[in-house]
Amino acid sequence: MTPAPRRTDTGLAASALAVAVTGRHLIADVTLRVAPGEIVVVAGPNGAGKSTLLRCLSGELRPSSGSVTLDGVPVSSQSAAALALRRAVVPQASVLHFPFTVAEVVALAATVPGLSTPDARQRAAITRAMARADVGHLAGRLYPTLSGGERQRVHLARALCQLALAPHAEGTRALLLDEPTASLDISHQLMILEAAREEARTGIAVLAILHDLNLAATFADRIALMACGRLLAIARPAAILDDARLSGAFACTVCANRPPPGGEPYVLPQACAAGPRTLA
Amino acid sequence: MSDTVVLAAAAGHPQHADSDRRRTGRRLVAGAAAALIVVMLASLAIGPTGISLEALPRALFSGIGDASDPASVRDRLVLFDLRLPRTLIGAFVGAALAVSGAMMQGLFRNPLADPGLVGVSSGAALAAVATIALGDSLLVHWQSLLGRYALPVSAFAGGLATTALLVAVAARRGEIAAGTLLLAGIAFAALAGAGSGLIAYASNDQELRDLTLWSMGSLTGASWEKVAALVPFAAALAIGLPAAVRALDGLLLGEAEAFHLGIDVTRAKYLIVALTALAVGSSVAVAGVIGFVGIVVPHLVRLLAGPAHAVLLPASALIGASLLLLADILARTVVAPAELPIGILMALIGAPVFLHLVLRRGSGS
Repeated sequence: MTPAPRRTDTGLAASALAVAVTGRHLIADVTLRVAPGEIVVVAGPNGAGKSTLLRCLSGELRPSSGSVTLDGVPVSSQSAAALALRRAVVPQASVLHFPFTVAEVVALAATVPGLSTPDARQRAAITRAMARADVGHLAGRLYPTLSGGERQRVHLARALCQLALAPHAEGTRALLLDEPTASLDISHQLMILEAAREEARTGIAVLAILHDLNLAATFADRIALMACGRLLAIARPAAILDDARLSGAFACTVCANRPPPGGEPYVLPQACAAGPRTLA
Repeated sequence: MSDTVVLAAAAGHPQHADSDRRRTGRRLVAGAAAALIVVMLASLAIGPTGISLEALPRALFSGIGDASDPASVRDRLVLFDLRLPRTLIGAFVGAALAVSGAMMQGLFRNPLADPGLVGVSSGAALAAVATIALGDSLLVHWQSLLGRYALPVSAFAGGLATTALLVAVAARRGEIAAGTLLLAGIAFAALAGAGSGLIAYASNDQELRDLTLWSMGSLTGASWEKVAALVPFAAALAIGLPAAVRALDGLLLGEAEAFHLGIDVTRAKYLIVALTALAVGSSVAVAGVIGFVGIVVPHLVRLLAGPAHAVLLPASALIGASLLLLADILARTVVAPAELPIGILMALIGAPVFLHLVLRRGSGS
């Protein structure tokens, strides 16, 4: 990786970020930057402040101190509509009591004001995003009838569609994913992360919260390890995934790069099957 | 027809389901508009004094020239002084209530929210009752300042205060707890009802008669003055509602998701709360508390054409107007020459639908 000469403030950056609720710090002193085209995976135990960090980066949550910037411009100074042209978020699958179809949920991304408007282009973007998230065959299904994993993929399709339609010339675009693989089978876990990887290849800054350290190792350019609201380290996967550091962060014994001592089988999915998927 | 659309959508026909739904939506709005015209004509023609359909256009559009015909003069009188304002007000009230139900359900992400159930109508009614009872004493300046608008503006303020309180109580950190919403709404409705009751208790007989209207709802006493008082409210709603469509769609996914889609959630909530209060306040001011329109109509539209608000709001308005006018035709013919309070009729239709919704939710679908 040869660092190209670029401004040091491009991308999505948090500096000295802290969020305190009723005096208790959810996160404190978090500084990191996701460069355009980079995938940063945030890992850490429950309650480490990963989601709080993501909510700050998306502009949804205003930090108590510190700042979040996109290409050097504070996120807090931008309107919701302006931000929606630059970044998309895949939330944890949400409950929806109203019978939107899958295609309608994805199409909401095309209603962001300022996105490129020609109807044909929007339809193409919606169709392509649904295919990439493998929800094309669910287009007419009602969202409330879907399984958790299917819902998650619908939100991925919505985010991909939003980014595809966003004007590319305005600066860095960002994709934030909050535990996108939480309720997915291993094949779809790979598929979602490969979609994120493709996005990164087109210059999008990607930040994903993942619990699966093997997936993190496979897909991350850098892993940000968090615990107790603090950023313990951020570095390439090989530098982060060592026994002592992980055991400390997660408060349990973790062995990296060794088969289980008892010789039990272990499984590590590595690549998505090529070609179209035939799922019922 | 529409059931097949929903089933086809559920079965998953990728290319067709979505455009089918849009087409269904357009057809629904067109059909509802046509139906409303028919119902409005019926509302003009039907009553203790029947006006034949042939006589209707003559009475509506002929000049005063044929004053020689006493039947025609009587028809014109009935039509212009009684039925036309009543029909216009009924259509407005039905539309406003249905739309306010659809908006509250979107805002609270809960298909059971209804201004009548969660106390918004009662809050508006309390303010209206206070204005009537105290109009020549405590609130005399208010009355003289606003004239014919004193009542609808008071009701609007009452509705606004109640909706804002509901949002504050039921919304915790962006998530709205359905149980809290309904229970808090019941408490608000009870409080506002008690307030209205206290005022009624302290009132003289004539005022008391007026006050019973607020609790049961009625279109009796419709007049051109009331129609005129509604015009600014109708105009504000017509301008404001289209601006809320995208926000309401986004809010159905959740507040965070709406923000991610570029919606200024705080501003959207203010807009929706204000529009709801405008709709509820103005309709309560002219017709009292009429429940369930806001639950039944949006529910029906969602079954037919899905929850997208670009269809839901106009279709609900048109169907709500028709439903209320039909109920009013019944209310003034069944026991003619007396009248049933229309709120009672709506409760007879609406309560079973509400129960059906609750049971369906209970079974987890």
